[in-house]
Amino acid sequence: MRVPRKFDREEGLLSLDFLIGFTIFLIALIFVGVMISGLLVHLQSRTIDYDAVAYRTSVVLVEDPGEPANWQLANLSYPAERANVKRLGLAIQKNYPGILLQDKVEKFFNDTTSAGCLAEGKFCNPEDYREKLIFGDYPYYFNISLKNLDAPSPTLTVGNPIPDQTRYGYIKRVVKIQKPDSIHLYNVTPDSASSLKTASFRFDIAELYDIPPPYRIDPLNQNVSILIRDFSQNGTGAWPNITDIQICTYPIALTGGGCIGADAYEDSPRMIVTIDGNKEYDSGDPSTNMVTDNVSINLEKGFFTRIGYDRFGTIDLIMTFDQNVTNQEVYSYDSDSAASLPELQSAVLEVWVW
Amino acid sequence: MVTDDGQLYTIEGIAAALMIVVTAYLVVSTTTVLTQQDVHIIDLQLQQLGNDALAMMDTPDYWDEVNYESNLSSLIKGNKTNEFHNQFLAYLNAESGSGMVTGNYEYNATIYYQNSTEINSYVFYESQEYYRENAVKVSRWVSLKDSDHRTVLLEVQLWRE
Repeated sequence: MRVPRKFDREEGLLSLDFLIGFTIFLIALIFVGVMISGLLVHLQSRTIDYDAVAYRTSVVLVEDPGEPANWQLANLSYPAERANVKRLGLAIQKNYPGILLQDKVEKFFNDTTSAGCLAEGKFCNPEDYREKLIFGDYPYYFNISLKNLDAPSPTLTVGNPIPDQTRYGYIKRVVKIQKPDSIHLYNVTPDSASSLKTASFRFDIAELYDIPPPYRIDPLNQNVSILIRDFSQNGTGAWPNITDIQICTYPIALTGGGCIGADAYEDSPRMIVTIDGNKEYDSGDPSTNMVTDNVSINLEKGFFTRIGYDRFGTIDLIMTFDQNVTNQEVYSYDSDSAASLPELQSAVLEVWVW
Repeated sequence: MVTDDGQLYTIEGIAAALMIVVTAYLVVSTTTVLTQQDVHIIDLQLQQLGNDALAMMDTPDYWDEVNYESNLSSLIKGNKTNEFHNQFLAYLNAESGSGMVTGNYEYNATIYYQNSTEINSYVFYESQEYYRENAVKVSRWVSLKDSDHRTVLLEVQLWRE
């Protein structure tokens, strides 16, 4: 009991009850404080989040070549190669945003929702796209559509149909797609006076790479397609036979003859030689390799990279015949021999995320 | 000696704490925070589209060592305003066909250039007069392929009707 004007020993002391209550309050307040940042997220419209994801996705697609930059060469049938593809960018190179590579576009839109996507060597929809393109923990639904504006073609689409009722994030990008160069044509003219029995096709990669990436002929990363025409009989009426086909580094002397045969690989990417449009070249049986009209050679994309050639090299494709077929020893694989050069075509890319 | 005066007991303390916490929660959860971000996202979409369209018009389709000239450069050089309008609008309105049409764009294009003494400008194309619409501005330096190696600044004010 307080006595006026008497010294009170309990003045200014906190009671235990108050301390317990205040502590509980503080702990609860801290919890609320932690929760508030989460509370505010719910207050905002989800559209903002979706739009940001759509924008991010479009930037990865349009302005990034992906990781690795030549992921279009990966054989998705192998789990290791599939796992090696970290990011699915479609750009031709990071310095050329907005210009997409045709091969990447084709591979990207070649998807399947079936469980057999691994065996089919296609991207699994949606797992691969969420993991390698959309990112984030939330399982977003998406629709990515691409339409070529210059050439009439169907719209390429991956993902689900766009919902009518749900709000979604959206972005539209205007892009160019690089159509690669087409087949390279060579006409051979025999020279009866010459003892030359080979025909070489030279890939001067360094020279081809002088041209900026959107416009360059790129045998390292794109299909190589050669058609040699106008074969004719010799003086005795015999048609030429192919006896050997080798791919060598140039000059041979410097590298000790780094050559590889036409049939070095059974699986893709490999070299396919077709004679007269109907029979495949067989190095084991030269008697079957008679040419009466033309020879077509296809190197599947990634072939040169597979055998270890890079952008600094010069590569010769050397064909040997049992008689003279040409008066020209070396043919150059360049813009002059191409039936049509690389071309950029306009396209529109739209991304919906919800 | 402890008396009852001015004391807060445990039950009351917990009750008071709960009341404060609940009040705080109710206040925060019922307040509608109006953010301006919706507008910014639309701005971003429009700006990105305009930048993309100008960049693609400024990208030649074929490689030519000598006459490496973009479409945009030749349109500005030749003052082909109608062709510019058609191409620019075609890019803006391009659709893949998977979703809804979002179109109806209007814009003003102005070109800034410097002569020997000062910076001048002229209106390149005006699809509609600008009043107070919510517009964005996109610009691109276009180098004109001519003997003088001139570069002009093309500025486009872009909005949705």
